[in-house]
Amino acid sequence: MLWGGILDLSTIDFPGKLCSVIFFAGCPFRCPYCQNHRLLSGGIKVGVDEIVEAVKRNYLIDGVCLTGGEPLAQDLEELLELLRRLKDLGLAVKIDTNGYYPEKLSKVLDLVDYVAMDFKTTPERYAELTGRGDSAERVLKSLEILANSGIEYEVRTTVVPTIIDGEEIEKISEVLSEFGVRKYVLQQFRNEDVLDEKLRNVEPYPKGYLLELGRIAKRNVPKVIVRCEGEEEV
Amino acid sequence: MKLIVFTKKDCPQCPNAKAIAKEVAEELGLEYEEIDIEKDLITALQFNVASTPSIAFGEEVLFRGEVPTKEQLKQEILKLMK
Amino acid sequence: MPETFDTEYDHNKEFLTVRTSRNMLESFDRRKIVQSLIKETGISKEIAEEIALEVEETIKKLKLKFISAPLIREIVNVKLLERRLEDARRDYTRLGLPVYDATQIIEKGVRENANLQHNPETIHKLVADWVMKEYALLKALPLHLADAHMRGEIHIHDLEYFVTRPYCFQHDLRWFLKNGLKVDGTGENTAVAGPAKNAEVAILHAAKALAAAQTNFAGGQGLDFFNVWLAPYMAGKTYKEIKQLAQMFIYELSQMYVARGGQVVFSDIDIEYGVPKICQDLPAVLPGGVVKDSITYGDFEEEAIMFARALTEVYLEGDYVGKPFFFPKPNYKLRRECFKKEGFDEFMILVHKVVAKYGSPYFLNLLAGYLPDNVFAQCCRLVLSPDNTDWEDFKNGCMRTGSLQVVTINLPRIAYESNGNDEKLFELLEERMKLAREVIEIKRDIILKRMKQGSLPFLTQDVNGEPYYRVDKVVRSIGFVGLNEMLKAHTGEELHESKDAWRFGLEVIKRMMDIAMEWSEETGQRWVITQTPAESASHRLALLDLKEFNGKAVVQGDVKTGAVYYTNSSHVRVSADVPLFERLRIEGAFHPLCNGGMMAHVWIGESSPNPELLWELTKKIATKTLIGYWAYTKDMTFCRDCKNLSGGIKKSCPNCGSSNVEWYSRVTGYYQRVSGWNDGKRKELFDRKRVNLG
Repeated sequence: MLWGGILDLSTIDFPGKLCSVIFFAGCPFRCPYCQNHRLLSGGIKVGVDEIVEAVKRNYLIDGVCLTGGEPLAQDLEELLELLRRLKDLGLAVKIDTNGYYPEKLSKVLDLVDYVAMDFKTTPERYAELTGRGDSAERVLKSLEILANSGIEYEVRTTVVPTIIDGEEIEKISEVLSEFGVRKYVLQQFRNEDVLDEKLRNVEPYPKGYLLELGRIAKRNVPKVIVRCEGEEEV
Repeated sequence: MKLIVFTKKDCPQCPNAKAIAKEVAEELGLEYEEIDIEKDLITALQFNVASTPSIAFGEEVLFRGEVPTKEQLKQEILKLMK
Repeated sequence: MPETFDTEYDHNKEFLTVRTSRNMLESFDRRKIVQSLIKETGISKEIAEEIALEVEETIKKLKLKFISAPLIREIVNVKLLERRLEDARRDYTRLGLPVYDATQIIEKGVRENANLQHNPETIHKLVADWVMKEYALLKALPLHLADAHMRGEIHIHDLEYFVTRPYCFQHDLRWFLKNGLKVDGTGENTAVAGPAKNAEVAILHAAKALAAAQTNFAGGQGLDFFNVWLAPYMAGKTYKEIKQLAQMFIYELSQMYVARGGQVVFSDIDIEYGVPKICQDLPAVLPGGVVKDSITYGDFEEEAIMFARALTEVYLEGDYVGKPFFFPKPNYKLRRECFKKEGFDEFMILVHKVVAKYGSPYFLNLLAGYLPDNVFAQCCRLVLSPDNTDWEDFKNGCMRTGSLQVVTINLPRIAYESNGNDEKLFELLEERMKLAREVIEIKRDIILKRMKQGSLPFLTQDVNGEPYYRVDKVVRSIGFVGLNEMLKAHTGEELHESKDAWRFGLEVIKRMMDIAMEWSEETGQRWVITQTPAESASHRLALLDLKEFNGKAVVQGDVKTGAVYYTNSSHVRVSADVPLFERLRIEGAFHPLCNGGMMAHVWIGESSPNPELLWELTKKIATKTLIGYWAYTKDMTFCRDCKNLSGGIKKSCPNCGSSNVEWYSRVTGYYQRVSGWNDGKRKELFDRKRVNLG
């Protein structure tokens, strides 16, 4: 597996659980506002053992958040092995995914407690934003799998000024509503060190505006949360 | 990996903990050791143990200042042996 | 009108004009030199006369335009030294500071103590400190101890107060509630107040008792069981009224800008969730100072909880502009029995909202299994375990304790001097501890003397036939700094780098504890080992070692600029890339050995952590580690322009973009403005590895 790093303790990456965050390297998307773009490729090759070792003795955590990069871009067999080992340690697992791997997603779901899936834009604009022609189709497939799985999950959109506006949010939330999504998160964009240099000068929307967007989404999704210096339910 | 019981003189719950740990060690075929925290305080401290009875498996403290049931102890050990 | 007197006429005349230290102009009279020499140094009349004559000739020869008594004294001192009368010179010399330094202090202030603002009161304090420090080193301490401090083998804390005040104290509010308050200790210079009859006055008495005590102490002033002892005064009040009282108290202690030359009182309060079992059956002190056997603190559980919640909410709100309250520091005690009480979880989540916002709360962990039911925490980290006689005091309504003096051992220095030899290292360790002991024994005699002389009136108040301050009941604290650098120099590895280095570190501190315990048995006094609040010591000692042991010295920070420091006590190096669980495991192992006080820091990076999960984290730290006392430290940037407070150390305000910002973080055991920090501490701030909790 391609290791990108670890954050040994977090209170905000797994709802209700203290967790470690494991970053994998490698991602099929090239979103211009990517915060972890140093993890888009590269990484250190490690075995499942090494990853387990990194969290095993951490008595402060109750869970692990797998993120990236794109965790589901890793080898499926190794992923399953890792998930089983984490379960054996009594740790809950959350996966952050971009939704590009519906088949892998369906295979790991049994061993996962929480999924956070990106829904970055309206399906029509997905290819342009991510750089992958088949992305919309695959993301919608993933959403369908999640919606029918019975697992706890959230769908989230990073609100990037110049890319996402009220109209977009309205359209996205309509799509989500068709799938019966119950929890939708709007994340504040952060301009530090993002992939596209032009975006580094773009100021994030203030919290007030995010809450306004949240109220638009709320017409279609029962629970909407704004993540911006902490969390606030709309 | 060893099963370790931390004890000290005049600790009322220690005999109880020792008995349970010994039994479990035998059943699972584990090495068994007792450490008196007054005689070897530093080893106990490196386990983050300062109260008795406490039970550790390998480097992991499973119970601190309390006596588990045999089943609880076994379960915790098996979790770590996987 | 100096010109009238310092003209060319004077020095050629037989009678020179002298500006005396009594602010008078007098004619030069060499007999005065003779008299003062005999009186102050005890040398013979013959030598004194000889010197006086020489001095007179020197002065005439110099044809000075300006002659003052201090100048004459300087000349006399040279004559004493020429005769190898060094001891006499020591007795005869003046204390004080160069004109240049006085100007610096007046115009710029100093940065050694992070609590000191630059204002008229602190200017006076700093000038006085200079003299008192010099006096301690020159007169109160024998040369070998003063030198040990100056060389940096040991660090004697609060030298400016060495000859006048003990270090810190924890008070029992019940005593003031029952007996009223004499802020000057005698009632001769100030008004005397009887026992408080209502809650407002009780709150004011609590605040004023600490401020009054601060005038007689160098360090922190604490009130244990704060919300418990005040609970009876809250009876019958609405929550809104109680919150108003909580606010009043916190504002009093964070605004009375009076103590120790213009600082707020270095104060702390211990907050309990309800009334702990150990207090439940104690007869309560009621409004008016009334005590009835039939009414005990157990009857005020609800009031104690409401007051605890109110205090916490005030801390959460911050001051008028949204800054946190730095004082009184709130200590929250974690007791097993609390977990069974209804509402505890909810209360602790509220406490952790304060943690997430400001980082102000401190946690005292009674779950780790080695601390007794009641411990006293105050100052930066002092945690004391009570003995049997303390329990008697506790039952009698006047439990009090504190630390007489802290002396810190420079551990890395010992490693440099022992050249890898274990035996030598332990030998030197004991030797240095003995120096510290000598210093503290001298301090004891001094404080006893001051009490007898009547210069510590707050301490000599009568409590049931005993003085309020009992020198032999308070602890003598021996601290240490730089265990990490000692290990690196001695074993080649830092504290976190191997289990062996860690173990050796534990052996060093255990040896210190064993020695302290032996001394306690031998003397019947309490000798304890403490994790030093090393605000200035860690910087000063690193700087001295760098000079003395260049090439060998292991220091943190920037050698080129001199912004160097040693890692505090037995902490893991602040910049070490060690996960929090590992750091707490390593540092926690030392806490049971530091029977005079300990503290761990969890540095929170730029973040908005989740309060519920922070509370989960607190529970894990309490049950899975040996950490006895800790706090989460949040760095903050406060904008002077738009008054916005944000997390992290930022060059400009994220709200309005202004670079007119002030940084806040914890120095050693308390929050302060970063601009008041010394170079070593500022460097440490940027080296700290933060746990990204959000």
